[in-house]
Amino acid sequence: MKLYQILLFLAIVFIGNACRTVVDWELDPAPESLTIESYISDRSEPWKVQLTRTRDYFDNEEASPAASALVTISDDQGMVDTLQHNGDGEYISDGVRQCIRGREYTLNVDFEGKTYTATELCRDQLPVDTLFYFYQPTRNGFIDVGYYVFEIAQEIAPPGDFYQWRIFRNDTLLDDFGYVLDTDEFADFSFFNSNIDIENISLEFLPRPFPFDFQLGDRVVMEQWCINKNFYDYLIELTNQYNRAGSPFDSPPANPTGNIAGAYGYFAVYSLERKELTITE
Amino acid sequence: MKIWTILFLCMIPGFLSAQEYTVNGKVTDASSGEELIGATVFVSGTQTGVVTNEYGFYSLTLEKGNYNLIFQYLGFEIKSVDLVLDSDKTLNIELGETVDELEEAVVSAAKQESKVENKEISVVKLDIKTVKEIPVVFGEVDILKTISFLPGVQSLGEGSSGISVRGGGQDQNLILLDEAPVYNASHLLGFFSVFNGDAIKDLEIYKGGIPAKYGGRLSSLIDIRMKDGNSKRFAATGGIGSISSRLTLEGPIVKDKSSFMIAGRRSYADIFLPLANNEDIENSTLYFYDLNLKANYRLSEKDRFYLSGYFGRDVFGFSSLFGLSWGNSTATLRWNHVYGKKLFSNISLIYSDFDYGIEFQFADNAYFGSNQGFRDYNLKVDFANYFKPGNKLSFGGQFIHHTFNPGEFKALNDATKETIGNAELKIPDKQALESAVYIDHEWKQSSRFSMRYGVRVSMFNNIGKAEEYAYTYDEFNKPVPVDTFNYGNNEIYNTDFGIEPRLSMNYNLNTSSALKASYNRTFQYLQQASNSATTLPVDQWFPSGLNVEPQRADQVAFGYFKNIDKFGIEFSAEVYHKVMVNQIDYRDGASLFFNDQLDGELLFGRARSTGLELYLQKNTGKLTGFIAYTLSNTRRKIAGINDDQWYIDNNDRPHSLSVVGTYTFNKRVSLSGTFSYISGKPFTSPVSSFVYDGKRIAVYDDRNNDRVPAYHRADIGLTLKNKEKKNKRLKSSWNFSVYNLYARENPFIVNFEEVKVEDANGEEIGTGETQAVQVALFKLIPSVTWNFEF
Repeated sequence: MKLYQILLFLAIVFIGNACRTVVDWELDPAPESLTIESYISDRSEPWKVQLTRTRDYFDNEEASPAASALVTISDDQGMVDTLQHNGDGEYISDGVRQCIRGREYTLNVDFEGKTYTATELCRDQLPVDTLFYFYQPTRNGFIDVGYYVFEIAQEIAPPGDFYQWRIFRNDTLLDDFGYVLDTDEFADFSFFNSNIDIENISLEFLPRPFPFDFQLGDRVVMEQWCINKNFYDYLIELTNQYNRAGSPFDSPPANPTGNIAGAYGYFAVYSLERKELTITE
Repeated sequence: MKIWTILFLCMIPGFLSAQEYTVNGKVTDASSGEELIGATVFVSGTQTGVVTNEYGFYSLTLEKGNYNLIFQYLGFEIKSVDLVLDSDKTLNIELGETVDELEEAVVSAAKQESKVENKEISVVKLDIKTVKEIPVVFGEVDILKTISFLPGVQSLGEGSSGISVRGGGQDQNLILLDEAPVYNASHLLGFFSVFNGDAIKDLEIYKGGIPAKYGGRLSSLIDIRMKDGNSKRFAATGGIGSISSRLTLEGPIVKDKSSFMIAGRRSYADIFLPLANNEDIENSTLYFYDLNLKANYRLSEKDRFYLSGYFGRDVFGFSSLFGLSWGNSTATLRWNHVYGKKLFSNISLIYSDFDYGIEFQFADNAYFGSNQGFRDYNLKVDFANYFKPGNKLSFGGQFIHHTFNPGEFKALNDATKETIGNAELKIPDKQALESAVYIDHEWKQSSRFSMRYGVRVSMFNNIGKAEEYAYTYDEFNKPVPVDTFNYGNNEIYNTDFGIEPRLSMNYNLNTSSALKASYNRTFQYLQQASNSATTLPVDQWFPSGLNVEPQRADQVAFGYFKNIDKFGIEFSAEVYHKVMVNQIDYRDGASLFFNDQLDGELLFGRARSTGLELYLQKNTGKLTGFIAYTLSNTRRKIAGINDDQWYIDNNDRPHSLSVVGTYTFNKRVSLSGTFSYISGKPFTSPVSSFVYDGKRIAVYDDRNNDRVPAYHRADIGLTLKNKEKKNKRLKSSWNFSVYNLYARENPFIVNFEEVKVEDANGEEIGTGETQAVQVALFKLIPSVTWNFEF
């Protein structure tokens, strides 16, 4: 994906001064469909499922919620939980819940005579060894001056897993660069920094940090989500579609491949590892 | 084997006739010694004649007697030679240009007897002089852009050198530069084509009726020949333009025996970078250069050697941290030999290479590079025997060894190697052999009827060492390899054959009008993986194989041709129908870059294109030029797209009109103008939207359900030649041009997006509202070029 961003830059060199005009456009209509958005994990918290309806592309009103659905989440060991409507299309479990790693979870939504289901595995992952930071005193073209946070995971599960990171600065989620995603296939030079010796970090031998700069005193929280491959692909496809810039290098328009037949959106199940630190001298 | 019987019967007269002698030789340009391709040689007062081949060679076998031979070539004086044919003779002819004496040119050109039967159906020949007069963006002569004015040929849009011929894909055009295939014909991501106008002698484009000699692509042949180099005297030509400069040097090495040509060009697009107002962009580099080299040596009247090469590269660097470069290299070594008087042979050894590299330096111990590429070694052997006028048999073969490098990724310095443990990531190379034999017979049955027919038998072998996969598809329709096959070095593990009949026929209604028809079947064993609107250099070529059937096309065309000699006008109307099978498309969300399981991402289907092409050309007089109109319809049906129903192809443009004209006021001043109108390109617009993670995401239904507004544009160019001083060889001219004269904002793309605003931190955030944005590339662009020659 990065390559395409660079090529996009190249295009901007030529197209940068190209003329962009907002135009009136008439679109083909489409029937209304259901959108489902839900993330559940092995952290203790209420499970939530958001249901909304699709709307015309140029309809700028709030998405209208789907309020009269029957929503359940079950696992492969016979557990079934019915979620209650909490207003505005949000369905919530009665009290906190927690996924168990290695189990499969199934979402079932009955809405206006149709049934929508999706099943995902709560994947196991190993703990992160260390969360640490370094100071970058000069701008090196890719990153600005500032403190950068990185993790070291010496022992990760056999390659073939997919991850998403959520980085918080003083409890605010940082998402300037979209989703931070990676696989553990090339753990040496991915965010896992498996080969970095923490005693010998010099500016010549930098680990790969998360792409956010911090200041002294910032409290940094890192959440490492082990997600399913299809969700990883979904987030990439979603980002590609969302970032279509009108350049010749855009990927062709296509709906991201979710895991709920007949509805848009995704039912994601993940396992969580979490570390935090405060930036000091 | 009827065809063999026919061929045999055709050959018999050649063997049996007594008292026949042959005159052969070469037709060349008197001022430069350049061989003239397609010059006509005919016996005055008869219909008997031949056309010179791509090396300027002709051979004419006649009964013993006295003849008057007429040699002519458009834009050159006509030469008439009396010949007493009482033995085999060699007659090399030099023709002088007539361009400088305008009045004379008008007169002599009018006298030229243009032969409607010499026009081939679905073939257009472009004179490089015409190409140079047509105004283009930034004043940069661009062969591929100019070709797209022709009927049946469409540019894939501004900012792209890609062309679509009769609804075909841009990787379905065989572009040959001195017989070497050019796999990526664009510079600067497609803004310019790689061909330097000063180095080119001649080009021909075949939209159909492709002779059996050529194969490997479905839709067209673009045959570009480089200049040989002036064999008479040293000469230099060049120009300084608004975006690039060029210089060509040529001259004899040994007078009348050997000559050379070297042409170079470099762009300075970099100068526009500071306009970007961004420190990183200002510190970037962005340029291309190319070199054309050619030398030839005449060992004897019967033997001539040519060595030609092309080397071009695009370089892009972003600060010192990121670099990107790509380029083509080709080399061709040819040997022409004439056996006896009638059998002309050419043997070519061709090397062709395309590579693409990228470098990242994240930190001193994180310096990585990746590269991809493609390499061909190619041997071609061609023979042509000129039995009698109107009876020519060509035969030969071709053998190509392809190597594909789908990608490798590696550390570029020791510190990085230390960090990542010298790990290299390489998708194994793939190799293949592509070979073909052909036979092609041109036969004039009578003064009315002539035909050219032949067959090409092609074969494609995938060879080891290779690892191949068999796929199944999961619940999300994503490929999952289920079986792995390993093949040893040089093991042939997959073979495909193609039998490709070719036929074209001509029937003269009278001396000035003719009906023509053609049929051809073509096979294509290589394709480029691309699913964005524009093909990029990173879009890799990949072979057919275990999971990919070779592409195949069948095309028929009918045409009516009419010459009105009095006004120097040629008119043609053609209809065609083309059916293409085993067409390739990609799964939604397919990942095409650096993917060793690319063939799992493919979808297959068919495409069809039907069209009517009208073409009116005026070659002589003060006003020259052409009008072309195309009405066409191109559809596609791919298993897995649009519920497996036929849908509008990306290359479907129902209407296309172009008008190209040059008015020559006097010896020094000429004005050219063009106008083009093309139906808008199809695209997919959203039908609704949903919200996910706070973002408005578009929902799509049918592919290509919408069309951008039509494209139209007018350009104008003025050429002023400076006064020639007596006894001075320097000639120079100024070319002023304006691209998109009435500043039409042609939609390059229509994009549907969420309106974004900057938040307090200067980061873009979505507002939840949506809009349609039309992007236009080039509005009015003036440019100036100064050209010189001495």
